[in-house]
Amino acid sequence: MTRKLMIVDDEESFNLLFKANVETRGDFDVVTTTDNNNVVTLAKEVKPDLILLDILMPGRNGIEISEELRTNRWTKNIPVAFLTSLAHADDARQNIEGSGTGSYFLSKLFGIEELLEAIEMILREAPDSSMTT
Amino acid sequence: MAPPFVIACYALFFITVLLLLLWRYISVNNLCMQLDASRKEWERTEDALKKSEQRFRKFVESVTDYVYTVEVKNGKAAKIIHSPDCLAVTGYRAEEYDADRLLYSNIIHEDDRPDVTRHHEIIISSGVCKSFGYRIIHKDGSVRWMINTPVAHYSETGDLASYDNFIKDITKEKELEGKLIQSEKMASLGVLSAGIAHELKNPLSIILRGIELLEVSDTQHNRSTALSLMKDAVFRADKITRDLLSFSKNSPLKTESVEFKVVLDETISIINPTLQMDRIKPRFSIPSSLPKVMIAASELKQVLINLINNAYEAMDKDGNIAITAEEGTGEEGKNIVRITVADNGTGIPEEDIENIFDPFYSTKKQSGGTGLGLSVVKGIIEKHEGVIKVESEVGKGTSIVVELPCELTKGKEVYQ
Repeated sequence: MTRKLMIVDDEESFNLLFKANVETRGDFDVVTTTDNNNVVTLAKEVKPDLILLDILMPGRNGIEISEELRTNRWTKNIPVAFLTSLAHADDARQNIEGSGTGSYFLSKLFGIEELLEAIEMILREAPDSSMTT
Repeated sequence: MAPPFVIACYALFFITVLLLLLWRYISVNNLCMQLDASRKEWERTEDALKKSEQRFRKFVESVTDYVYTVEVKNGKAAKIIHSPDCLAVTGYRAEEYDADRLLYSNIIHEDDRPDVTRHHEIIISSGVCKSFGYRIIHKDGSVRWMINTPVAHYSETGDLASYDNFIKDITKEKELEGKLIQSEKMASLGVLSAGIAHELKNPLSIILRGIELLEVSDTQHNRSTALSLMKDAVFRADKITRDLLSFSKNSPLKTESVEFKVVLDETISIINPTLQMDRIKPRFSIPSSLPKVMIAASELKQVLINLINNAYEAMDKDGNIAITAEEGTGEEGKNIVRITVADNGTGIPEEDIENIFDPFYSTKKQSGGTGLGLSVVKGIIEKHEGVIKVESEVGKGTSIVVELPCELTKGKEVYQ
């Protein structure tokens, strides 16, 4: 079954290449956006199986967006992972400390196979996605 | 026997002569005493003058390495006389300067020559004497930093007759100053390194995704998209490393006319990722036409990095930093550019404000500030005849205002 991924990143180039890679290598349909102001609306519409969020973006950052997703009844059960270029996962964790989202951290510099494995694992661990749809 | 009348006459004559002699003796004696006193007074004055001259000479020698005098005739430099000490400073003997009239101008570093010429023209045309720094090429080929403090002398008719140029070799001071600024730069880079690493990893991640796509995709469209995006990412990474290098390299501290916006952009690209990590959003208000400021670009970058860094460290997450620049009039009616870095951070208690520019004064216990940041900033600003002010309120935030003189073409009326 084709799974839907949604990626939110202000880097249009990264989105394009990530989408092409993931769709070529796995059974995924990837929706990309650089608009970090309307993520909740788009997520409600797309109903993705997983949302990948960049952390450092101008304006609203990934942490703020994940909090919005958590507090919205239509999106709160969609698993969220952060896909970031921050030096190492600890930096990212420090940023999110206290927000209690229990989210996943993936480095943008992981190889694509490693990323796909991690995505598969998150999807397996995630609560039944039918709850969100 | 002579009659008593004659005897009386003789007696009177002798008494008169005696009195005359006595008076003369007294007055001569008096005169001698007066002369003696005058001589002593003269000796005392001469001694004081000698001592004062010695003191002045010592003072001049302590602040001056050599002097050259420019004699002015009909509004032009007629003759230049170099003191023998020019040998130690420049490597050339006074006779060599006498033999080659252009030598003293030729040894000036070619980048500084127009500026030095302009300073001399201002002295000759207006008599306004202002210290100025420049570089020379010593006879041994090394570059030396000089500071010239000119003093004008006027003729009885009030015309400029000559001016002395008191030259001090400040190469050692310049080297130390360069080292201090360099170590401060390295300290700032330490604070910013996580942000810079992030900024570099972004284009790297695009290149990685591009390579991975090329590995599996054989459609022409995918291949050309990947290659074009990868190429852009390489250029971006290159721009980041160039900005970083231009910031960290020990560039000559040469005052020049600098476009504030360009320097600000280069600085922001280094510091912005760090700010973003703490959700701090810098806001800018920079007019599109702003006169150029007179400073060394690398020093202006250091000033901005330090001020923005201080603002950043003064606040928690979600803070605001506002950077504004405007044209204005400073003290003495000079044209200036006023740069303000304002934050809504913790603010500085009133009792601490007077200390913040002191070297080694630091309140940044956590990040391990060197305590040199603001003292370096103040040093840089004052060296360029600028002004730095601070306004702060505890709990509300701090504004640091820097006023830098504009390019001379705009501020030329100062000399007229």
